[in-house]
Amino acid sequence: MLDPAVVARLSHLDVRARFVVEGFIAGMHRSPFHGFSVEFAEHRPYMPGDPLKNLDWKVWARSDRLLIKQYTEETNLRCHLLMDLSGSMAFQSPRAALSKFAYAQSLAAALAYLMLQQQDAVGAMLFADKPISYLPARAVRSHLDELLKALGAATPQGRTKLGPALHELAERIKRRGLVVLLSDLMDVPAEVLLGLQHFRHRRHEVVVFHILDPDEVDFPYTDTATFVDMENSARLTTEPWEIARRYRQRLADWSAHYARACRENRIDYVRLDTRTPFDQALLAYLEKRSRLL
Amino acid sequence: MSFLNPLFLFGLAAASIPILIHLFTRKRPREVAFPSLEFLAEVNRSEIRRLRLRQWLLLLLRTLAIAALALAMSRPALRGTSGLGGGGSTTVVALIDQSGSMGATTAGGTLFAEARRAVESVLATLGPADELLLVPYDEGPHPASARPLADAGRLRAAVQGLTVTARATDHTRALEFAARALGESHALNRELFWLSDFQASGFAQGAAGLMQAPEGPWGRSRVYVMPLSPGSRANVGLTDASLAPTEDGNALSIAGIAHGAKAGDLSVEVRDLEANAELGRGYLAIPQDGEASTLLPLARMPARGGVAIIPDDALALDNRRVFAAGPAGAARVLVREDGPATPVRLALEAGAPASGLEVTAVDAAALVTRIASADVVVLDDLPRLGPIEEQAVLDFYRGGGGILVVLGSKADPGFWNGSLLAELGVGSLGAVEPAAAGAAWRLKRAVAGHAVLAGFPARPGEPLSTATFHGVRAMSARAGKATTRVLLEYDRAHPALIESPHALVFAAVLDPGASDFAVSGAFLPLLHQCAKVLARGTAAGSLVPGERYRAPAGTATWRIEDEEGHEVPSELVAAGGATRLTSAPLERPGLYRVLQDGALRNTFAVNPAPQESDLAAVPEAELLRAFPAGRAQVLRPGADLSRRVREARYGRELWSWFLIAALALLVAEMTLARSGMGGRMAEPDAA
Repeated sequence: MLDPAVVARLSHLDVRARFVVEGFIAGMHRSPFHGFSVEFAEHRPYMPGDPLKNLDWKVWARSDRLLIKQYTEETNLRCHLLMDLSGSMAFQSPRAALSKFAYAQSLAAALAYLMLQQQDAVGAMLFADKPISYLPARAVRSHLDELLKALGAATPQGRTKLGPALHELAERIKRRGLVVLLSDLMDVPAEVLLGLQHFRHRRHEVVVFHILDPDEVDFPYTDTATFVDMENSARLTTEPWEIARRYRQRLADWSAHYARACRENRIDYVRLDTRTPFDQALLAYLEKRSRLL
Repeated sequence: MSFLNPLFLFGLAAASIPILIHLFTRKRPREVAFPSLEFLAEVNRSEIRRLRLRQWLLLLLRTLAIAALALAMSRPALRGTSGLGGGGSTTVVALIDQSGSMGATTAGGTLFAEARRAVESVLATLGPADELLLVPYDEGPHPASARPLADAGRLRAAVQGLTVTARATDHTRALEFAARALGESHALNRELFWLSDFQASGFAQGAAGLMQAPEGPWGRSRVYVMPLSPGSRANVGLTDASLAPTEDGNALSIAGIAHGAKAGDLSVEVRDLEANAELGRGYLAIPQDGEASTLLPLARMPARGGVAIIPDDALALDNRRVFAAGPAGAARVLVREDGPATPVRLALEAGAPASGLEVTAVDAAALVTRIASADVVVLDDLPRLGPIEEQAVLDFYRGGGGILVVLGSKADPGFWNGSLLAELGVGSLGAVEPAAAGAAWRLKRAVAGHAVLAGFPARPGEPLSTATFHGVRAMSARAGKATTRVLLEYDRAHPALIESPHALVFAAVLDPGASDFAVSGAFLPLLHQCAKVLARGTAAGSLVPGERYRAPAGTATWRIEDEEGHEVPSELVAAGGATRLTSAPLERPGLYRVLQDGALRNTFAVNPAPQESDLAAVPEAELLRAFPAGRAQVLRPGADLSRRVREARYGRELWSWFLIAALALLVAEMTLARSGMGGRMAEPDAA
């Protein structure tokens, strides 16, 4: 069990990533590492002895010529981790061991570690209301240090503007691949979904990890309280126990809306709260990857 | 609707408590950082109206619940027994005056007969859950039962058994009793029916004074004043009929009083009770609203007693007055003296036998032999007593006999202090003290309202007469003894007349050179009253109804009979080392006989109290003012009495409804509050 409460005790991000991934792998019966290459480079004529699985059957069907597909890289998959750094990601309730940001940070690091172990190329994009930093995807092991350094240096800040940021990132990533979004999605759903559809339009595969805090979901507050918005400092005084039921219903509807829209756009949507063990997120990624290859 | 505990209406102020709590205990909300207020603001916007409505509704429910509770405690009730089934019970206290004045005649009989009929009308108003305490009263209340009764049959029987008495009236004591009885009731309706002629003399303050009801639950009770008026309030009554000494034979002193009657000559007839023969006849010149007295010559002295009779008028009770006569009717007084007759003996002998005293002067030997038949022994300024007579006197005193000790200039302090004075416990005798040159003492009254001093106009501290004393016999009264008290004194340091149980000690130097008191007008009546009080307990010529006969009594069979020969209950009571014959309260006016071992020992008369003759009533308005405003009303016997009484009663008490309402409001409040706590109490949805 890759409990975030245990992971939270590890101070260094690289240790966290290794702990999460190796713990995860040790729990699996079959290794996920197969060493595929997915980047096509050119055709060459078939030579006796070539494995038939590399034969381009489509070309043979169209032109009656036997050609073998050749790949330019050793990497299997090109993946980009999009991490939301908006102010709302800093929220951590007393019941959670990690803030939403720290949870996303740990999950991103673990994913990067796992991907590089699989010889996949990994890049990262950190953004709030606009892109903050961008690391292009690379498959070398040394790239992990850069990724972890960038993730470790990030802090939640500013307001959430997922829509424009996603559009900009979609334009920036030229080659299609896997896009993993780690965010609380605290923005106008229509704009967020447009941004995600932009990725789909560019033929990227998209996985959305929707990260929420347990208190955000359960809303367990009882006494009269003044709630202060972490992004714009707006204030609202209310009786939480009076509106809790309606609030939870509203949040559930909102989350369901995201899930339904993502499903319609063939986007994988995974709802996580910061107490959810990391293996659930890693499994979701691996399932996605297995479908891609 | 009325409130039986209106003071609890102040509890309505408590209804503001929820509002005050709401206003003054609002906590400053704590700040909570939250990722986004978007959903909160959206939900809050839609919920805020409902929330405010619910909060105000809760506040209203709490306020109403407390108000309903306060109203329940103030015991609201509806009047009238018809509309709601008459669920309220009623406790009725019926005060019915049975004093002598209620025997006054009316067109339909007597006042008391009218009162009885009125009480029966009140009985008819009672329902199955109601109860009534019947309290006939005269000088005091005589409740027919210890507790109010609901048994109509028993109550009717008790009413039928009531009779008018000859006693005087004390309305105040009766009203105090009624207040206590009402106070002990827990019934919804508490009512006092007060049936009386409201004779003014029955109130302590009289007709002119402001009457005030005693403390009682008047605020929660209804008082029905039912005044009964005689056919005429003009009345003439005899106030005294006693034998009077005259130079030329026997005479009867007659006194009468007129209340509201015209002036005129009142015919008086005197008859011998035993022989039923006329002894004399005459007239009493009665003024309008005034008193008069006269001496009526008698043909002969009746053997045991007689009666003076005047014509019937509004009140028959006071038209007849009996008196005791003959040896049996007189107090037997032995005077022990040395030498020639003293002023004391002469004064005691004056007017006998009409004075009511049978005085015999005895020497030492005769005292011992005759002391057993005496009522009172007077030891008149003796230096000392011989051993035998001293023992006889001590035995007589210890047996309950009355003793008057006069200590003048001859008394030897050494003997008296070690003998009788020590036994009486009245103090010690000193020497004769002369007054300062040019000064003299006077005999002053030291107490008010003692039977020995009845009729003396002097108030405490004032001289009894103009007589002076140039020398007094020093006496030191024993301080702190409850049974002795000083009745007369020369000054604070020199007591004169000291009382101890059935004994009087008179320290007075009556020698002509030292004092002129023996020739003053106060001397004779003072000595006569001393002797009569020692013999009978009263100086009056007769007892009044309700009093008890008390006299010294040795070992014998005693019996007291009334005029018809019926025995009056009596008993021998030992107290303070003495035995006295004490009768039950004497109810009927008339001549009573005391028999010792079957032989006539004494006769005494019982006559009504003179104040019962005055039939003047307290005005109704003043009676109503005695009670809290609106609580009392005049109710006259009549056909609509039952209807009026029933309509005024509370039919139903509503406190239970208000309590239920309060509980319902609290339940509603809790339900509403819990419904709002769904978000607080329920498990969070697995969204």
